[in-house]
Amino acid sequence: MAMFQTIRNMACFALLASLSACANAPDDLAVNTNDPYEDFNRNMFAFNMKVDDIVVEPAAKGYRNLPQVNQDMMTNFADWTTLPSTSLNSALQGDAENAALGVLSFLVNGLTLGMADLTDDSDDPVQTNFEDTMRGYEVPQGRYIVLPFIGPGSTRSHSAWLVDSVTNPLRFASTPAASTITAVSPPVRVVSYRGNHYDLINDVKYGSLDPYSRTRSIYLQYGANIGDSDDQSKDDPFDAFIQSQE
Amino acid sequence: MPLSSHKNKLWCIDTLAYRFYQRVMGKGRLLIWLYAVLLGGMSLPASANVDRLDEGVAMINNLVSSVQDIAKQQSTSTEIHDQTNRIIDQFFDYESVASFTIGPYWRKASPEQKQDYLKTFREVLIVQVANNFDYFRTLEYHHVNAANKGQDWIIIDGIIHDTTNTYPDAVISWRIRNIAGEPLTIFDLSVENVSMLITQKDENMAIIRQNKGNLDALIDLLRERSKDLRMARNDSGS
Repeated sequence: MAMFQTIRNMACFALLASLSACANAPDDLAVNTNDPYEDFNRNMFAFNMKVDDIVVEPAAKGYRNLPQVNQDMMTNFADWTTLPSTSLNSALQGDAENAALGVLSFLVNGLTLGMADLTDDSDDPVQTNFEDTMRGYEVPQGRYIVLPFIGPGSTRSHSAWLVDSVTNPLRFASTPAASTITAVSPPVRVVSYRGNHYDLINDVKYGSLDPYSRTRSIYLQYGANIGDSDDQSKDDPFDAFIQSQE
Repeated sequence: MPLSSHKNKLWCIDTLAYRFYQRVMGKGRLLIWLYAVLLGGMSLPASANVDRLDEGVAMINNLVSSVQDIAKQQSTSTEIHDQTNRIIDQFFDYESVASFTIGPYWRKASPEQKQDYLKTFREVLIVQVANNFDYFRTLEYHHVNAANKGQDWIIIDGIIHDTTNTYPDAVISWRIRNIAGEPLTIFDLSVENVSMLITQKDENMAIIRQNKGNLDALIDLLRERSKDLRMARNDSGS
């Protein structure tokens, strides 16, 4: 089963790598310079919205009806399962202190399967992933892509997500407990994230004229503001507007 | 000209001027006056900038207290509508903001389409704000920093705190248009570095593009949206 998952992940990675290569298509052929696969992306977005309608939103609603203690336990568990990746990527980024804090938090909070945060807030590691590592090595963001079940991202973020999934040290532990944690953590992470951002996501989903373009705009602006070089070269749109008025 | 004779000439002018002012004002007063002119001349643009920044901060504080005053009152939906309308006119350069949200399609639009868009977009904006007044009741705004951005903009940063602790604190930035000799006007609001205006523009442009450049399609959608939002407000009983 694990072998099958690895092969599937590798196939997805190859597909993404080929999409990355296609990302240099001429801009005049693209509907939007950041989104040359808009038709495909819109279909995937519509599919994800259906999944959200049927599964994720009702589950998130249920999550929000839980007592706060239980919600915190789920969120803590979801965060705890990412700590091995945080440590690994911190090491790749040369941040030994954060890598050590990640290991320490994982071991200490592991006594409660991550459901309780037993460490001081000051000892909590800064969460990081392979996309941050790639950003650190100045790998370009690539094009905007929406994948089924996974959602919006870029060629880089989706590739990084795959690498994080494949290289998560928990996958290499051959105990039944580790397998269970690996299987349970993605749905818990999705439900707790959707529940913790319930109003914000519903505001975009139900409150906008075109939820797809609104989601894309927020994603790309956020990426530009955390230093994604693809957007740094662009002129300030507000200055351009003033100049066009003069 | 040799340097010494140049110096002498300057010395002569200085001496004549000095003697003149010595007679008129006295030695001490002349020096103070010269210092005042020198310092005043040097500090004038800087102090004007500081004044403009202070003006911007005061304007945002004024806007926030106006919104909180409305939120505290148990106003009817018509009253909230009218008050929000007044806030838009008082603090925003509405026509520029609205034209920004449809990018190049603004120039291509006919005068009738422009009027239609200005009216419909304002309607949606007002109803959206009015529907969220309950949320504003529990918010606190704390000013953090004000700075110039280029010649045309002032950026004022603050933090929004939800007193019910339902939402985490959010960093917000107001972008204010700064044209010398004209009153400051708010142009944009960013939440956690995501610009509301750019998001709106991207959405509007996508809709126009999907309808092959037809601005009327966006105006029709906005009209429907405004109607839906009004119905939602009436259903909620406010």
